[in-house]
Amino acid sequence: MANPPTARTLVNRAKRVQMNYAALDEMRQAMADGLLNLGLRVILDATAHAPRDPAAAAARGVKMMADTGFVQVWAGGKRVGGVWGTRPRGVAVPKDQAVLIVGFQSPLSHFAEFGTIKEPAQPFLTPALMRNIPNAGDDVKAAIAKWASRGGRRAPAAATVAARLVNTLNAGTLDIGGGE
Amino acid sequence: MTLADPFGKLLTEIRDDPAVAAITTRIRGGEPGPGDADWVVDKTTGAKRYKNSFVVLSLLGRSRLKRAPLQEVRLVARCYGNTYQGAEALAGAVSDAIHAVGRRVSAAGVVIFGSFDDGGQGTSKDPDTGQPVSMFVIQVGALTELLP
Repeated sequence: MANPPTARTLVNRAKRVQMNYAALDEMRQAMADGLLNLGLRVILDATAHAPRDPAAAAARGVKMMADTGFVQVWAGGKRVGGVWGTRPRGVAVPKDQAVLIVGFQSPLSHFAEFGTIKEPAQPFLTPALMRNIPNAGDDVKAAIAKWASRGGRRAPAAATVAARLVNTLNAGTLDIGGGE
Repeated sequence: MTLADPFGKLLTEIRDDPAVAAITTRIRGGEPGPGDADWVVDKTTGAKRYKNSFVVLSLLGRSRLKRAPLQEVRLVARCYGNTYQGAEALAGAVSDAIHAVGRRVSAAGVVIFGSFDDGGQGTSKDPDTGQPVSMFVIQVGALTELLP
């Protein structure tokens, strides 16, 4: 029969950082919610400031560039929020990160943003992003607080170690190291 | 007290970079200069031949920290070349001129802590003239106040 763990072993186990991946996934979902809120704020701001040319759009028979904004949130390598299904080429969505993509679907949008030889730059997306980024933490914090209020819990591995420590104390089998 | 603008310092650095200067000395702020975007039509093939390579820098936006006198400025460098390869080579030279360059102070007292190439999207054609252009974003960290 195996000897009960010593106090030193229990303390060392409790000290060890243990990740609760299930809770982490929930937290990543909360982060994704926060990022989606941020993205919606950015896209509304950018849409309000984007240049509009209804006559050109009508002549080409397409939507106005300003109305083609989209938001996507990716977490765990999958799209978890937003609209417009295709991920823009060149945007990496690593499985261990939450990624927010804000953009305009129109192929002319980058020319409006950056300018052309005959038209000066009329940036609308970058300024919207820079206006909203300073408060990005509030969106994510609010979403994580909501997650916590729904029952975010302590890591079960740490709780298990604590319970074992209490049980050992109650059973009187705690080795306090007096023999060393 | 005016908000310090690192735009001019960046433009000067790009213009004075030997690799960029070997390709072009036409580094513009805001819009192309007169004659920059000229072309001739090749009589044998009928294709456009662009006369110049040039760079146009434009300010995209800035954000200031709330308390510290710091700002993050974002610019776009539009690098026009005679060919697609020329535009890409020019964009590479401009990127090398400013990417991961540390702190410096301009003669006017503008303090830049660092500048970085923040990514581009490859080469495309300018919708107005059809000239090949490669664009990328430049991120600059700078002081909001001029050094006395």
